[in-house]
Amino acid sequence: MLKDITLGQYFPADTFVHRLDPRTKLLALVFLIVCIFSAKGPLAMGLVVVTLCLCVAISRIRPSALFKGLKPLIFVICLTALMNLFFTPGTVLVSFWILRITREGLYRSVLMVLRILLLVSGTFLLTYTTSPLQLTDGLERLMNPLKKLRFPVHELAMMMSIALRFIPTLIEEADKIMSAQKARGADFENGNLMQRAKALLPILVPLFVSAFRRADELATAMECRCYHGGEGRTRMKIMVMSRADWLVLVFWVLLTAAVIAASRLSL
Amino acid sequence: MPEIRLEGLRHVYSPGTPFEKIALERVDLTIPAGQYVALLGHTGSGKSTLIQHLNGLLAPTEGRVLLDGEDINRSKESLHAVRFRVGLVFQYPEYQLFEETVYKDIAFGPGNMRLSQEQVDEHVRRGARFAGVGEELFDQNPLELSGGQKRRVAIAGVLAMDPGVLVLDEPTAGLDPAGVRSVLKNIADYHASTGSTIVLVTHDMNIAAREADRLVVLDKGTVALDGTPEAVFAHSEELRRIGLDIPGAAALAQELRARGIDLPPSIYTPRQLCEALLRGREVPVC
Repeated sequence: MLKDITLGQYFPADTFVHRLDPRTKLLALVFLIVCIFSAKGPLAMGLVVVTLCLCVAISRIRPSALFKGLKPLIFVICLTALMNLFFTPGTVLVSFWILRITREGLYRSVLMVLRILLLVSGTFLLTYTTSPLQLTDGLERLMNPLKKLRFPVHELAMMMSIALRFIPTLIEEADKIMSAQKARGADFENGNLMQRAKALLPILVPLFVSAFRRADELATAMECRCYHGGEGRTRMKIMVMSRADWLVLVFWVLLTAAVIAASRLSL
Repeated sequence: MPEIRLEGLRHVYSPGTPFEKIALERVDLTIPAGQYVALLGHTGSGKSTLIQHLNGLLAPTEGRVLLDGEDINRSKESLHAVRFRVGLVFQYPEYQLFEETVYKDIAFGPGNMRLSQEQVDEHVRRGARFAGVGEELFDQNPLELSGGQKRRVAIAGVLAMDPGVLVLDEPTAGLDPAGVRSVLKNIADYHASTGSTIVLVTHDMNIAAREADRLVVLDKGTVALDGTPEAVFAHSEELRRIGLDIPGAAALAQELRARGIDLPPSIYTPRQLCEALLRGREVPVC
């Protein structure tokens, strides 16, 4: 059951989107976020939706995988929709009891839901098509200028890649420990809140013990390989921005400009 | 003591994703009550998946798991009850220890069985005795014991539930030779004195040859070979092909036969080889 968590999971494949430089994809995501928040009119929003759908199609990520990622957010999305629907002042369309639906409310709730959906699917698209390792490498390179300000860029990237690397390992471990305790008759599904919290103890204690053991082993292994931070460290795979990468970036700049222009004209 | 029957068991991991993996494909298997079965197969053959079906931790994608003729997956209650009837010792079980004292950790399983305090105590002492955990260890912190002792405490935690079927996944992995011997002896003693069914997962052919009445060999999610040790070890070519081997004594006997020494066909333990070689000679049989 824990294995079903899709948080930041990478679906390996060989498509145009997968092959792009992680920096391109990270920057594209930033542009996408700018687009999402500046798009106001239907034309602007339509442009963003169509572009993202195209990206999903090119990357061959199954829509079902995206929906699975969206599942935990259903509550938030519904809440946003309802709040905006009923609590926006404006021209009343329908009214019953103490609730009123206004034209502005309807418009805003659709906009807000679209924004959340686009934001989340855009982020998932990035993590589905980029391996965690590539992602942290890209981030490190993008944040490189911050080194001048003595910002520990390399250390941060290393911490991130270790954390990302160990999420699946720890999930697997938790799954294993859970199975082992279930085999001894542990019950995680029934009982009140107190009992359920107490039932977690047989999982958490072994999980922490093993996490510390792993941290210790990893530190030893890194020291054995003479790891001493980012200074003077070279890379086996040097990231190169290809023509396609620049084309994609130019496309996103143009799209962002178009979206902002369209929103100004409230199209 | 219950009889286990698997009917057309099939299990697929992560169906409908790129990670989809068929772990078991139509496994039919009946294990009569009181049998000592060794489940063999190389890494990824589906052994671990199979045994997690025996106590309902995994539900079959297709097929049924019957315990004394009743489907264990028929209700939540039966699924909970089956955990105490089929004791499952995972690989490296010492990683599941969590209590402050050895006694409390062993008592976790029996404590979940809704027994009285005295009954729990009785179960704990019985389980500890079978697993070779001395009562002088009861007040110690299980995390501070040696590797072999931890393993024994973890096994005691399952034996304390007094299961009629005991399933162990590589219980000797990573132990020193003395540890291996004593754990195997504990299992054999439990089998002999309670008449329980034992399912031992291993890829050590020597252990399988010495301990089990019956060998079941899994390959790519299906049962490749099934029978008495002599019947299974007769297929040495097939065993090698699927990444396993025959026991050392059987290999030596084969070599001797090839060099022209006359030996009977079914030899797979050192004792059998020794007796066959010394037959009719004036030396005390070893």
